Amino acid sequence: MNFKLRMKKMTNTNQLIITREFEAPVELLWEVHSKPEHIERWFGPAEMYTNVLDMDFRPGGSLFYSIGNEQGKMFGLVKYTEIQQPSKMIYINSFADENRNIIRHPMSDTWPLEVHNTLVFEALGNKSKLIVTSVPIKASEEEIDTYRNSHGMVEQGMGGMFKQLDDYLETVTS
Amino acid sequence: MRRDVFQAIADPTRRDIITLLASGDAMNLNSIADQFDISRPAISKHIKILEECNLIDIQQEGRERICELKPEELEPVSDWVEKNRKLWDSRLDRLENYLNELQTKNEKND
Repeated sequence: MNFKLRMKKMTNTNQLIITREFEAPVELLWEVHSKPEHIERWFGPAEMYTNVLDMDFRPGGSLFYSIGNEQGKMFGLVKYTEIQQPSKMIYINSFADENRNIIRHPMSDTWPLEVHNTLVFEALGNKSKLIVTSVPIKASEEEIDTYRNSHGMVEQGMGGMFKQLDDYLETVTS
Repeated sequence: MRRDVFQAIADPTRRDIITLLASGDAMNLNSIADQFDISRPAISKHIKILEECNLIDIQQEGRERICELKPEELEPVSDWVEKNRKLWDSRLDRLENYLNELQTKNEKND
């Protein structure tokens, strides 16, 4: 393998690309990404509730949400960096504490602090296509300090909940 | 500062260095730097970060610093890609069901 080929291989190992076609027009596919009442219905794991706590759907805006069950809840943050209706959306997704500070995956040291997602929407007549590109990114030193300061607080009383999320990640993996 | 494999691969030059070393042979710093258009100190800095991320071993041999990749340390990346794939797959399954549900509802209302 020549250098460029190997380089391409390496570049591909850290990114995930998923393509899915939907039996729905692209306008509807876009709409269910852009409104909290829709997002609550599909964004989180099936066996947990998803609550959108606030949503500011514009570049620079964010989506703050909780997912959970009777055992507890955890928080997630989506930061929108680019929104081009109805064709493209880029956002950074991370775990968060209740004050929106970014934290590590509470049960996994090897989950990246932040995940950069690019969603491309394509119209196919009455159908549509979604292309998701997902790559890990590394946060700044400042954010990591925030994580250190808040980590203990977040972990308290939520072990069972995080265990369940981890189990969920395991089941979807196996 | 916390160093991990995701930081190692966050930078395109570092990914290229990893790829270069992934061919299996240990290389000295100069021959790595020769492969790139950017300055030797810049490469040296990336090498240092890769070492701090525990992705490469550096051996001093005489005047040369020999860099060797620890490929097993890249495993968390492929693990993550796989878990993230399952996460997205099940999320898109839910999305698909929800879209179908919405459209069935609309047809009934028509």
